[in-house]
Amino acid sequence: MSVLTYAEALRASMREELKRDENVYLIGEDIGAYGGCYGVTAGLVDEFGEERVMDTPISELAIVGAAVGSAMQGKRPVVEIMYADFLTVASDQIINQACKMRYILGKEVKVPLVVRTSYGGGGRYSFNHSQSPEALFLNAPGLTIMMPSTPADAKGMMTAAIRSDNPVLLFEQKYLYKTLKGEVPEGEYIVPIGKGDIKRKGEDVTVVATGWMVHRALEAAGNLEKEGISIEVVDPRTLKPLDEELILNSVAKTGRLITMHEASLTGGFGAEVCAIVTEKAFDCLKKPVKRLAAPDLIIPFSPNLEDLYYPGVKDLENAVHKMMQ
Amino acid sequence: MQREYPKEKLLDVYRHMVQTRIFERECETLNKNKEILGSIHGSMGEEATSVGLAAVLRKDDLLAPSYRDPGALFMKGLTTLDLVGMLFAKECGKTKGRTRVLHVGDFSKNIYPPNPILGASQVIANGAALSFKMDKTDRVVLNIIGDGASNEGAVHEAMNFAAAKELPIVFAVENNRYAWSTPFEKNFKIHSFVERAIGYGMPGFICDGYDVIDVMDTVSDAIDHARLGKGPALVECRTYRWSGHSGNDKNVYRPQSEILRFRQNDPIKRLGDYMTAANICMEQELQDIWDSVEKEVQDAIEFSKAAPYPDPDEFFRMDTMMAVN
Repeated sequence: MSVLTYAEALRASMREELKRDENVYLIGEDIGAYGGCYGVTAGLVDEFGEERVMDTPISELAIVGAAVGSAMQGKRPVVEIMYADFLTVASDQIINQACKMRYILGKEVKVPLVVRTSYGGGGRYSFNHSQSPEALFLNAPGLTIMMPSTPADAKGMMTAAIRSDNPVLLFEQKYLYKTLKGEVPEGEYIVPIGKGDIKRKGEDVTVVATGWMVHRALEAAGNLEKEGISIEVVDPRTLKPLDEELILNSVAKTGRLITMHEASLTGGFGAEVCAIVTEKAFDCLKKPVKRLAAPDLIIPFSPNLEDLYYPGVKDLENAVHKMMQ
Repeated sequence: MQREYPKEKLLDVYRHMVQTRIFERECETLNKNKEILGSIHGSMGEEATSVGLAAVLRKDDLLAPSYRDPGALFMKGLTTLDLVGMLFAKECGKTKGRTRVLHVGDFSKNIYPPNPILGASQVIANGAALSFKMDKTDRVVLNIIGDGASNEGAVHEAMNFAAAKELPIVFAVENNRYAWSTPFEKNFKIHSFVERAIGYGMPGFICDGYDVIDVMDTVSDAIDHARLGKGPALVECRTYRWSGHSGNDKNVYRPQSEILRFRQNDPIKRLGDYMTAANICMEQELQDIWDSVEKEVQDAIEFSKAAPYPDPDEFFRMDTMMAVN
């Protein structure tokens, strides 16, 4: 084990995979000499050269397109899209192209593509540099969507993504890059796609949280424990394909479900989780499900507004109190 | 540069032009009689361009055609039944009823699918070229674009990207004068796509898209440039489609005399007349080609009519059809 930041853990995975498989290459804007907007790929160009850590014109469509076309030829591109907000520019390639090629050409054609991107708040960048657009992509058949919350998961999930033969969209929480440190296994470490994790065991309420919100859920769980309320924090890690069993088993135990994410409420990932639980475990529920999410508003710039915008520790504690009445 | 083509090559090209013509003629009839599903996107009149572009590719070169290129698809190795079966959405079609003709590809024959989302094909084709370059091969990508599609932003990104990265790719613009119904003059302030090539820093070539030998000569020059590692090139083929954009297009936005004028300049007749005048072959050899292709197309139609639709059980068994982990 070594203690790494979230960003260092992502880099450790990419570095190991670049060393292990010559077909792996990184491609994106300013990822070479500059090391990426958030420094996630810092130093890798010195070790692997400009062809495997490739700077590009500012052309998100052309970047993802080139990655798709080369992945079909056996390369394993890892694309950096500087901000998840820019994914919409390249979304045709992700939704309409990368996910459709095996369908058109047959299973023997593989599309081992990773699109990694920084998402979410905490950067004080306002909208278009702070959004969490994962739900926009949930409805695209054939796409794997991952969202690590810890340095260890970041490393293990990145490695799983790079080794997948299908397109993966990996959301990296930008506030966590440098602020979050944690123990990370050394050497090869894989967190399998589709495998969630219980981040804290509990008996009374299941909280399904993603990314940064996992940490807020853990903080709330710590506070609530003092009141004698036991929270189970479930981190699905892969949003699609979803570890439904993990969530359903937890709800079967607690009978209560709260979802929590940075993205806005309507049509969010939380809605999908709530739908699955009410569909498949309705009889287990003691109370109606609850979604905590950002409001259906544009992300504000002022720090006081941004702090109120995302669901906070207190919001979760209040929701739990209400549910436990 | 003028090149020599052996008799067998010219007859092969002639045969594929005839195959394309009869296929398109039958598409029109079947569509008019509502015997087939979806719509059609006829290429009648453009046979010299579509077939000629693909005719000079090596087997290991990659073709990424436009959706109006059955000629290039046939020339690169797809069969009449591959496409006819698709018209009927039957199991015997190339994609087994999964897609319309405008998505057909074949990885084993080095054909990337055309794309009805215009511009998408160009950025993906770049990726194949990128991987050919990374692998230090001398393989080349030929990407075909309509004049209408060339105004997509993705095409701009693709051409700049290809030039910046010195990719072995040739962009062939089939300028058939109409983007659906809108004439070239209304969509462009340039006179030739060579002007765009210059803007991206790549050589631009222009040829008579109704003279298949001129098409072959010119695209060969462009391919030589790309194969020698000098980066991308662009070829504009001046052509003309006799039919409307699609089967539903009433084709009333242009004078019928204009269509008539180009019909008198039939590219297939032009090649045949040249071959007989130059004593390359006898009139009877050409007639034999027409007769044998006619039979081949009619057989494919009869076979497809009688063929089964795809098996729903197989389709809805997700793991066989979709890119899932």
